[in-house]
Amino acid sequence: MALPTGYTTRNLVRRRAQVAFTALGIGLTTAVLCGVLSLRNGFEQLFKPLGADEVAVYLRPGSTSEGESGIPRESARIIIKERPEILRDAEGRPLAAAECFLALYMEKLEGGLVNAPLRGIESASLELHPDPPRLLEGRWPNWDSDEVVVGRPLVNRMKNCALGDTLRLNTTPFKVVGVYEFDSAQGSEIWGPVDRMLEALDRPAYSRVIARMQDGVDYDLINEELEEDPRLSFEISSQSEYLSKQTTGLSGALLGLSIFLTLIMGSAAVIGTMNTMLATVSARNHEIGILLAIGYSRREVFLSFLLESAQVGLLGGLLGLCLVAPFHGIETGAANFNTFTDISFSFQLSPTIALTALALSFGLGLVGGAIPAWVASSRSAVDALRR
Amino acid sequence: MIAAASSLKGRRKLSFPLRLAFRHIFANKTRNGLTILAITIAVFLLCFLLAVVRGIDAGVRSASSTRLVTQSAVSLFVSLPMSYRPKIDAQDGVAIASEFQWFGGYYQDPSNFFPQFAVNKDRFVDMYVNDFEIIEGPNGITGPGAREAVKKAFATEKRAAIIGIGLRDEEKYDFKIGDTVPIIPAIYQRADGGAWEFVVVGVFRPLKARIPDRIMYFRSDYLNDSIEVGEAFGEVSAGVYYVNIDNSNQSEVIATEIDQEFLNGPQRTQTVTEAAFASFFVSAIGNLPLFLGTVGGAVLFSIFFSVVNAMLIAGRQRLNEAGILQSLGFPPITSTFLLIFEGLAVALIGGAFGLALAIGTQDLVVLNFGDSIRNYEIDPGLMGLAIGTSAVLGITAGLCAGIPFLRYRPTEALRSIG
Repeated sequence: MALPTGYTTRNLVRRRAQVAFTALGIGLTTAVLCGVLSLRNGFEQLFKPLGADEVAVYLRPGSTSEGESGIPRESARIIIKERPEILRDAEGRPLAAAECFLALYMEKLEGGLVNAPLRGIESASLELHPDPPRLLEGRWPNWDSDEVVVGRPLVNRMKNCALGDTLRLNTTPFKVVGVYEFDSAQGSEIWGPVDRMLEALDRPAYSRVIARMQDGVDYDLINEELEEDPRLSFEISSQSEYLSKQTTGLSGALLGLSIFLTLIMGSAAVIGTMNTMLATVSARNHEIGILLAIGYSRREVFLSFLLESAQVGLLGGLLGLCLVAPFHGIETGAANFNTFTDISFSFQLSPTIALTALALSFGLGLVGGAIPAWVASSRSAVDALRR
Repeated sequence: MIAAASSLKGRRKLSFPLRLAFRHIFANKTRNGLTILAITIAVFLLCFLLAVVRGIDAGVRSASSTRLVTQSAVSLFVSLPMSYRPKIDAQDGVAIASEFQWFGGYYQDPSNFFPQFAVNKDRFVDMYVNDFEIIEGPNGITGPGAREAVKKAFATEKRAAIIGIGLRDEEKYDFKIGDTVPIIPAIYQRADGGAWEFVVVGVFRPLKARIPDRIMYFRSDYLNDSIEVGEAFGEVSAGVYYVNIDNSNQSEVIATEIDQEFLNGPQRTQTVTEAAFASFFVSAIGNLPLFLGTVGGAVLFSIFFSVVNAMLIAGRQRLNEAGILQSLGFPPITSTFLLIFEGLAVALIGGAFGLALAIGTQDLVVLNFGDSIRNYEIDPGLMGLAIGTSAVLGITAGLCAGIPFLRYRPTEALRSIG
């Protein structure tokens, strides 16, 4: 005989309140998993900009982030002028820039200080990326003036970041002359002319050199050459390799958190489901007897209750997605543990995450329904009918 | 029977059937057992999340009100010059000041990370009289004499280090007085490419519960002199200055005076109270506490749903019994109270188990995740909150399931087949 699927669905409708509560329990678990994974997804997307393999980063050997790296001015100039692997534009100028990086104290609009990333750049910084930063408002800074542009997410999160405002770096005021947009981890920074910034901050050294590479360069080979050059102390890596090292802290923490929460909330949800299904089974004792008496096998009874539970789970999963969907695209900020600076990113719900969540909710339903369904199917028809 | 019941009602008031109420808790062992288990898990998770969130701002609560921090006004990563200390000392109301430079090294493996600070050799020990007790000094000195002995040793041995008790007692560190401890640098590389060596001269125990005890202080002149003679690379600098003041009422005045002193550079300063400095580290974490709080809210809701659900199931099965009780002369509200009692009992038992689990695993969490989850502690406030929340949830769930009983008449209730 076919599975009594209509019967299971109608049962769900009959016990609306209990089904709703059980589904909500599963739904909240799903929502939490989805939320944390979406955050992680949004964070990781920032670190996967287009064409990152064609761009390379030169750092001081041994430093894992540009915050730790320090590069003397002269050797940065040597790199930019002399290295053959750096691509040149139509006029023969190298597509390479020396940059400095500092975590700057900034006040949030709602109060409280954060570490905002400050980057000193050169004109080539704006041209060397395959998918370059775009200007949204105002203009790019003059390279010999005390001017900065700010990343779009900062405008609505930090004080003194609107067009026309003035930012004070140590003792020097810098004017905000533009707002830029850049689809990468560098999208929420403050940019200004690197040499003006070093002077204002009284700092001696650059943090890194960034450059567009010729096609097909071999990074290992360049590193060997750099090691042999007595004037230089550098290590080169592709930007994608460099960026992948920058996400480990927060990304790993979010993944760990999502697994931990799912395990614990999931087991609570399974228990809730089990409770509901056990009550359903005991209330429908008589019906189970009838099903068995009219010829449904124990396996079919088992499957029908399991199916019912899985349906509740799936319902909960859909509910959870509905709960989390409004968060999609909402921007937030958190510390990137690797550089200890604040970075703006958004919840990015993806089809993969949604499917993972639905699979989880279905699974929770199955697990929670297994024991009750087994209880139902192991009833003897005669005993069940006798009640 | 109904007539008899109403005449009974007229004669005497029946007291609450307490024995029945207790019987109910064990009437359906599977259901209530599962509910208790669900609440246990949820309350544990709630305690865990709240302890993590509260641990984040613990530094703010343990800060001294008579201590200021003078830092660069630009960035946490900009160090102040060594030349600032005499100028800070000279300010009215300043008792004692010491440089605090972040060293950022690790012991043997990057996973064995604990904070190390370079501090002033003559001032550091006196700055923390009220914050920690020195329990062990050189040559086995313990007790009240240890502080002076450690102060002397710290001023004479150039490589001297004072450690928190956690570094002595935890197995993976196991640093003892007299040990030479190698610390691998992340910022201050040595010319020989090796580790820095420090000699343990003192062990302290924090007097305030939330001051970290896995921490090491060593002499700033050891660091700076090594850089000057070319044994190590880096910038000779002070980091930030910790400034003890005489009177906490004067903190704002003194802070302003210090900042005025350095208004024109070379590095502009921002002097704040120790609490404000600590709270900066909290706000720098961004919205993480908010995320965790939101998750905690979701957990709370899911416990609520599971208890309400269980009580609704109980309620359905108790309809018949409610009819009998009413026929015997109990008012309808007795059945409601019975359900509230059951909900409360189940929630409290689950809450207590969850809390016990959280307290029982506390040391485990600190041991395994102490490096990333700071100041994790299930404190009495949190315990009260866990139990209070469970109670409120239990009562609410009982009410949700019990309210409908007020509507039923005995005949209707008796007719129900559960």
